[in-house]
Amino acid sequence: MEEHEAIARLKRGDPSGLEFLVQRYQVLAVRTADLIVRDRAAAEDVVQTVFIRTFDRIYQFDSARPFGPWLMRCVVNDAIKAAAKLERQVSLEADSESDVLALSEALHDPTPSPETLLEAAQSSEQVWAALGRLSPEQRAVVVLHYYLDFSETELTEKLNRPRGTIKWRLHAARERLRELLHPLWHVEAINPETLRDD
Amino acid sequence: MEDRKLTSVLKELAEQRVPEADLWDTINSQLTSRRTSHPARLQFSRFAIATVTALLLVTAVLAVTPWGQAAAQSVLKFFVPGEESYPLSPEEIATSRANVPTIAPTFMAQLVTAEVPAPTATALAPGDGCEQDATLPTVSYCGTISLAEAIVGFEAKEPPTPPFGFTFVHASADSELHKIALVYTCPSGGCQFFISQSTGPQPVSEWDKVPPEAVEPVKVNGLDGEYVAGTFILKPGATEVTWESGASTQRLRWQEGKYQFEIAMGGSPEGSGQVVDKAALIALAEGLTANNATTVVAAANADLASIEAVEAEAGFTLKQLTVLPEGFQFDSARYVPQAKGAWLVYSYEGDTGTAAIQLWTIRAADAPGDALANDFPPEALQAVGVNGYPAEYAEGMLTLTLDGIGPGTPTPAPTWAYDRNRTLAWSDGELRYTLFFFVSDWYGGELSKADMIAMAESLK
Repeated sequence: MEEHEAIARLKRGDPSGLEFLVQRYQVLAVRTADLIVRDRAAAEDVVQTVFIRTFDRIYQFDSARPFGPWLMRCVVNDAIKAAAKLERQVSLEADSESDVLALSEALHDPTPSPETLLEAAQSSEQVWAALGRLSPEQRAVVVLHYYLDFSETELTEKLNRPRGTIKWRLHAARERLRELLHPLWHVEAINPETLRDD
Repeated sequence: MEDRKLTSVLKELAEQRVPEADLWDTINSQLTSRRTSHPARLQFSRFAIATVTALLLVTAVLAVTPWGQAAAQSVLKFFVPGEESYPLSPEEIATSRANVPTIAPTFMAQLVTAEVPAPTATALAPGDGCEQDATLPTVSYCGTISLAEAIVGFEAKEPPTPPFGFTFVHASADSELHKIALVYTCPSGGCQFFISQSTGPQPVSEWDKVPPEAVEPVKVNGLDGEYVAGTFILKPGATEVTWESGASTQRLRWQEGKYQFEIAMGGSPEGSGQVVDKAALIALAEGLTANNATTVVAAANADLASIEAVEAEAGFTLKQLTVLPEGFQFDSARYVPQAKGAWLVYSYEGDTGTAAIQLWTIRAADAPGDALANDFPPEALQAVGVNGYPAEYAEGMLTLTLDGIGPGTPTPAPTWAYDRNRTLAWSDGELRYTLFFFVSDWYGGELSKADMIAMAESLK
């Protein structure tokens, strides 16, 4: 079955069309939602809800356009809401703070080895911790742009925001990340090639 | 960290955290169980339709009508808790559609011959009294605050000067609800601003309902208040309205003694160089005073004067546009004595909030220097010609967006956005002209550089 056929089936109310789309997009959708919501179970809830809504509202989808971006827009928007709710319930994760502090301490060690620095610079955990300190909206823009590879123009369209808003959000998110990962940026700026050669 | 590396790390993270997913069984079971039940559709009043369609229009309507305003008693002090989204019936959606913003341009505007402006009425000039609403007999729109105060029976608090450089439009007064609203608009027409105050019990409407999590407790002169940034909107293609957080609609409510206050900002002051955020609203609220009994704020309402009256004040002849984009018409003229210049305003189908063309005329001797250099980044300016005179042209506008800003994040500086707004400035030696084309998301048209120049060259 091709995607357009699945959508046609779905528009006729045939669940087999939805099953095809779920199988095709669920992994990417859950990963995307998880990067924003930062909770696997909540991310799955978001994606399930989006797929069920897709079943209800597929008539709104223009079949001439690609389905994937449309779906991901729904996922991201719902993930932002879910993240906002979650973050109101729990304060910043304690380990996020400690990760950043640990990294900071390691980088201020007067005699850190290049390997240590490189390891720190490449630590996905540190990036994860830094992402956690962004607002859900900022995380969403980072995820759309850097993970899903949406352009600014596409972001404008997907997030239904004026271009100025997107530019600002992307800028704000990048600056916030840069601030949180300052030691990492700093390390690379000093001597990235040496570190890699080592 | 380089962008490519961030992409790589994000992918690695995503794969680590979610190696696989299998949601179909759960989704399928939910679909199956749903088919056996028929959830009741909520019924909503017609107020809901008006409330959710378009934030700018909604703000404008709600803030001046009695059913659109209330101070609610609930777990929240000044707002009423509501759901983050709710469905509309097909009839409600159909009714709402007319007010849904276009977002993207859908057509190129066509220039047509402009109609000669008819002699303009000077309604609501200072001292002219109040005009009763056509459908709400208890609501009147007054040219001065003191006239409105006489209707509601109490002295309203007001800012020492129109806030943020906005233009005072009128004061609405509701004799039944004992409510007064001071209404202002942005120079660009892209926003509406209200300061309302009332006494006594007020009806609760959809306007009062917000998701509880959207409410931020604040203090106004030490008194409890609540701030909300967001509104319900009906997005294109949607069948339910959803709460849209963000700074495009901001409200601040508090109570002083027996008086309930609300400051509401709808739309964006983009291009005005003003920052209107929570802190600015609170500062404004704390500066309101009831000691302005002699202030004639409505003097700013002189933008309803005729072209002839403006020419008499300005001391020079105003040239007028003789071609306009289809649907535009002459709206008003205004002389600004402080700057010694005059505005001619052309609105789209009578609504400057949808789109507006504004022509600023001033003696060249009173406006030395580069007309656009102070407000436009050099890279946005293009050199063009108007009737042989050198001119500067720009597409876009300085944009200040506060969405996503939270505690600890810095207040952003305005950034240039290449959007559908247009500006063209030139001088014929005697007079200097600046032609602005302002659009909101509610206008689907786009104007080309050639059209802007054609309009400029049509001045007569």
